[in-house]
Amino acid sequence: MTHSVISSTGSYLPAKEVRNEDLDWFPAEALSKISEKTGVYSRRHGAPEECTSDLGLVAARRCLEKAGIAPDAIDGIILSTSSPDRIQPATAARVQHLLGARNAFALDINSVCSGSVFGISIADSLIRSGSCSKVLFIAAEMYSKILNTRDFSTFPYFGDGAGAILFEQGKTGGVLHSVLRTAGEGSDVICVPGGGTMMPFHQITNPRSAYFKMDGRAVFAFAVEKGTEVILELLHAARIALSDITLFVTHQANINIINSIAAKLGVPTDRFMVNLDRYGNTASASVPIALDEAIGSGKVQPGDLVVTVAFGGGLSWGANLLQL
Amino acid sequence: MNRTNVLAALKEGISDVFPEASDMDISGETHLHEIPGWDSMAAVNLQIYLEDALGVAIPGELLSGQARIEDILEHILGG
Repeated sequence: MTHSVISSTGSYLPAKEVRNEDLDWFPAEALSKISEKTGVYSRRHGAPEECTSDLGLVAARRCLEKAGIAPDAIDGIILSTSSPDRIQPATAARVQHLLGARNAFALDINSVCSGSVFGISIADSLIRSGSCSKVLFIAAEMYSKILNTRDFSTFPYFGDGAGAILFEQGKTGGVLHSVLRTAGEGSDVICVPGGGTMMPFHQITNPRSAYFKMDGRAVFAFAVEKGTEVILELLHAARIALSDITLFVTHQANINIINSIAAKLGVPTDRFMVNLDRYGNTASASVPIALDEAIGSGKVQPGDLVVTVAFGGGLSWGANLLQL
Repeated sequence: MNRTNVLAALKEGISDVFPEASDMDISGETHLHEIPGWDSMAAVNLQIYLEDALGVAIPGELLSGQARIEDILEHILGG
């Protein structure tokens, strides 16, 4: 049976670091709430001339260079983003061109913050089916460009960044199982209301509708409940115990969400990867960035079992069981 | 500033910051946590709106979920 093995990973965080204290247009006494409520102390912002595909390109190049694979050997590029270069065409198309992956098809997927667990599952399906031998999954986000800079309920949470994972056909390990779920009745909980066909730009009456918004309390409750539930569902289906998992790589939304999931599972927090303190919430890029950091820092070794889990707009959530 | 004007500004601010509350019947007895979409981070947006619109600094403790619209009104009117 064909497995989709992780050959390499890569990531890119823009150079510009924006600390909480740099957000000085917000009330000074409110700034301490950022780290208290989210765990974020700093985030990265791309340069004004950078766009999402630029971030994805760097992550992709780093991933392929590590694997020693030439871009023209790639069969397919799947790019997850909810902050695309443009509404159309796919952001992946520009990455495909600039990367030189001339033999690869390229498409975007958008499952907001859970995009990576969905993308990993789709890449796995393409490899297992035999239709592709090498799939490059990229997640790239530039929320700094879709947030209202004066919205304290969203702007401080998020950062820009990109991650990439190269999947190849192999005999063992890799993506062992995935669980993906959606509850579309929650499609208003996290969204950018305007700019699409539901509310074209010329029909926007409240300027806030042009920017990302979320119901913070509802999102927190949803993330803790479904994040915990999907991990248990995944491991039950795969017949793997919590104690067998070396590292949980969760979507980096909020440290209090991660700590709550750890507590509900009875798993020590040191088995959860955390980098949101330095990078903020990088939406769907958070999982591959965190995975790349975990591998690069030696937190996980070849053969280790890792669970990636994410939750976000849709509402959607999911998890993958990976063997490195 | 009179009570009618300040209450109107408050309602307008709530409607601007919390669009889901635009049809909500808001009175002095409404608690902030009853506003759809309210949380402690979004409350800062209301603080910014009111300070910009009315030129009055709103202390953070008046933006807790348990605070009432009446509490904010009294502060702005100097009561």
